[in-house]
Order: sequence, then structure tokens, then C-alpha cells
Amino acid sequence: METARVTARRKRPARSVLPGRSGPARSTSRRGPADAWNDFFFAARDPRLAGLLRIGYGLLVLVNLAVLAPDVPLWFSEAGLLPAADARELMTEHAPTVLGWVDAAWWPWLCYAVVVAAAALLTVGWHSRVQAIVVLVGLTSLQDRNYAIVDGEDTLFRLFAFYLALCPAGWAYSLDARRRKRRGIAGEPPVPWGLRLFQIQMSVIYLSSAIEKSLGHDWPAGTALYYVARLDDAFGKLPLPGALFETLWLTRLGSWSVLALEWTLPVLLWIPRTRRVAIAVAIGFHLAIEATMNLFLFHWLMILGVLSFAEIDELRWPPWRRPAAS
Amino acid sequence: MGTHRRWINAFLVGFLAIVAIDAFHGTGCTQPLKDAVNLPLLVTGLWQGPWRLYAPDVDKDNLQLKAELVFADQATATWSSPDWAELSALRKFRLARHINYYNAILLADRELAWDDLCAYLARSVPHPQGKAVAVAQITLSLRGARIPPPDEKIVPAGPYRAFDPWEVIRVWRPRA
Repeated sequence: METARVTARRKRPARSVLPGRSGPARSTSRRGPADAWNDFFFAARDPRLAGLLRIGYGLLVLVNLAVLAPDVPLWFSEAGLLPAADARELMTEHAPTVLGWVDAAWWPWLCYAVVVAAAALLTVGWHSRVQAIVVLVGLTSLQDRNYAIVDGEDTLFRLFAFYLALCPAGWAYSLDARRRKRRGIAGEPPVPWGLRLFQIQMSVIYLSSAIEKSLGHDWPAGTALYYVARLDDAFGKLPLPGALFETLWLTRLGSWSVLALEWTLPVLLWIPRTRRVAIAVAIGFHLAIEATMNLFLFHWLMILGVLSFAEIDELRWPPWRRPAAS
Repeated sequence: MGTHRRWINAFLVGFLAIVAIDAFHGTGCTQPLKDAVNLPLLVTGLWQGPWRLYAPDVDKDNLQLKAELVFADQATATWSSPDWAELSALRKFRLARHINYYNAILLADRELAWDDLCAYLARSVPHPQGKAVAVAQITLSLRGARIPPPDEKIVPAGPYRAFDPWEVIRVWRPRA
């Protein structure tokens, strides 16, 4: 089976087919859980999406590392802000870190350079799976060396590297694909079951955040965004009318909308009828936060994760342009 | 079903169970389950924990740090943490890790990190006259601006800067 054929079939999905599933729709009346599981994870799907996610992820890792570059000695060396022994004492649990292997000023730089190289090679798709694993080990090591500078996006960076290692991320748009073509290696497109892990992860994030928010006071009371809009470090990117955050009913509406989105997106993203709208809403939601808050790369990573719910032919720009004929 | 597929299925079942325990352990699962999955998650770098994202409640304090350095010749210098409200979005993007750092070290039980910050400042803040004189003492102070609740008083949107007076949180001297 050629990739083009998979793509062509994807253009007319049956309504009863799960998002991302291709092939004729099967009757669901007599299917057991095992069949449903197999359909969910192992139904044919265009693996080129994994290639796109790989490129987006690789670029974000490179931006992350570029911003880190001037501060490598500050964050990761003994001459910096947090010596290794104290960094370990501040944490109760530790991942293995290669940064502790050699006690020399050049060692953090070497580790950093290896991660940069792996991220660059992952972006261009040269031995993609291996590079994803090197990026995972490298980022885990950097984060464990100085946990004080880490936040949620670093967790996403690690997890996405792992999921990419489980995807056929080098199948398309990559040097791996070019090499395969040059050597005349043909074969069926791999089943990108790892893409499901991206999707499940996104649902876990929304759901976990919704639960955590609902357990507090500020979000159910609708005052959360009132406080967020007065924080000096995270808030205030693009100018916004102050009335948005000074009129209590508007602030409540905004806070409750965030809560409602986080409760509903994990459901709506999985329902075929609502999937596209949910993707658009989720992307709009993250872009809106990105425009108003300084949260580094978190929302770009989230947008990348949301795109795992899309099909490759839906990712065209402008969106109203017809997909190219296969 | 091939052996390969069986292995993948076994992995998926195990991994998804672990993810569920890790991400939702604060909301129902018991701690022993979390303890059981902790080690494999740490070793593989795959831990995630619950996703808080300004939950359960939003921080309500804007904080600033200040250090007053006294050199051995009694000369003084002052260092301050970045004034985030004055920085451009681009500068904040560049200093994103610094934002995380200051937020992290101002949590409770992080006195060790304050000492490390003082030691770093003693090495890096220059003497006001450029002399090669060692730092004799650093006084680390903190001040906070607590955002009042909206049912008490609605303050204008934007960085809330009604700071309380400075409070000394550490007096540091280099080890002999």
C-alpha cells in the first residue's frame, strides 16, 4: 500500500469511523473490547502526520535550547546559581542525570551540545527514533540537574520526545525517508499507533487541569483570571482593554470558559462530529493565552499536541485551500 | 495477532495505567499506587504528575528580591531581582527560566537555594570601585504585593505593585 492511497482514502471518511481511522467502516454492533482496542490503536492512518509533529517539536526544542544557551554555566555548572549537591538536596526524587558524571566546567556544555545536535538531527529526520531518545535523555538530565528552572512545558518536552520515539516520525519529510527512497526500500506505511499517545496525553492534560482547578476556590468562583491579570511576571504580553479584567462578570465569564473548555475538550476532540471544531477552538484557546501571557513555549507545545488529532490533509494553509490531488 | 503486536499491546496497557496513576493520583488513587510507579517513571524521565496550570488557585503575590552586599572594605552594592513589570515580552521570553527560578526559590524550605544565590552574588556582583575586595556580608530581603480579592477591592488590571515593606529573609556571610 502506498502512502498516497492511504491519503486518498482518508479524504472521504465514513461518519462512523473514529478520527484518524481509514478503511471501510465496520459494524460496531458485534465488536468486543479487543476489536475496539485494535481499531483504536492499529487502524491504518497516514503516518506523515508524525513527520510534521517531529519537525514542529524539533524546532521548539531548538528554540528552548537557544534561549538556554547564554545561561548554561549559570544553571548547570558548579560556578552557577545552584551547585549539584544542593540541587539534589532540594529535590526529593531524582532521575538519572548524565550531568553528574564528570565534574568539569566543559561537561555541561558538552551535554548541552549533544542535545542541540540531537534536536537538530531530529528536526531534519536523520535516524529520528534514536535522536528522539537522545533528546529525551538529554532533556531529562538537564532538568534533573536544576529542577528550579523547570515547569510544565519541560514535562511536555520529555513526554513528546518519548511519543515521537514510538511513532514512525521519520517516515515522511525526513532524511530517513530520502535514504529509504534512494535505496529503493519500499513497504507498507507503518501504523502510527504512537500518535494515539499524543492524543491521550493531551486529554490527560486537559482533564487533570480541569480536576485540579475545580478542586480550588478561584476557578469555580470565577476570580482566577482577575488574579492572573495582575501578576507581574506571567501576564501582560499584548495590550488588552483593562475593562476585560476589571469588570467582574467578564472576568467570571473568562475563568469559567477556561474551566468549561478544559472539561469538554478531552471529550469533544474524540468525537468525529466535533473533532474539527474542537481542534480549532483548542488552537484558538492556546493562541489567546499565548498572546496575553508569558508562558514561554508551553502553548506552542500544546498546539502541537492538539494537531495530533488532525489529519494531514486538514493541515493546509490557508485552511479553505483544497487539498492537493494525490 | 503477531508477537510484535502483543508486545505493543502489553506496553500500551501498562503505560496507560501508569500515566493514569501518575496524572490523577491526587484525585482518588491511593498513594501506594503512585509510589509503585514512581521509580520507573523517574528512571525513564516520563513522570508528569497532576497538571496544575494555575490550579487549584492562582498565585496572588508579586515578589521581589533585593540583596545588599557589604564588602570587606565596607563598600556597599545593591542587587535586585528583575522587575518583571518593566520588562518587554521579548525580554521575559528570554528570561523565562529566571522567572521559574525566582518562583521556585521563594517557596518554603528553600533556604539552601538562598545561600547559593548569595554565594553566587558574592562572586559576581562587582565592587563599586572595581576593587578586588571580597564580600563580607549579604543581606537578602523580600517584599511582596498581595493582590486584594475582587470582593474586597477591584484594583486596575496590570501588574499589581503595592508592595509591602522589605523584609530581611537571610543574612549571609562567606564561610571562613
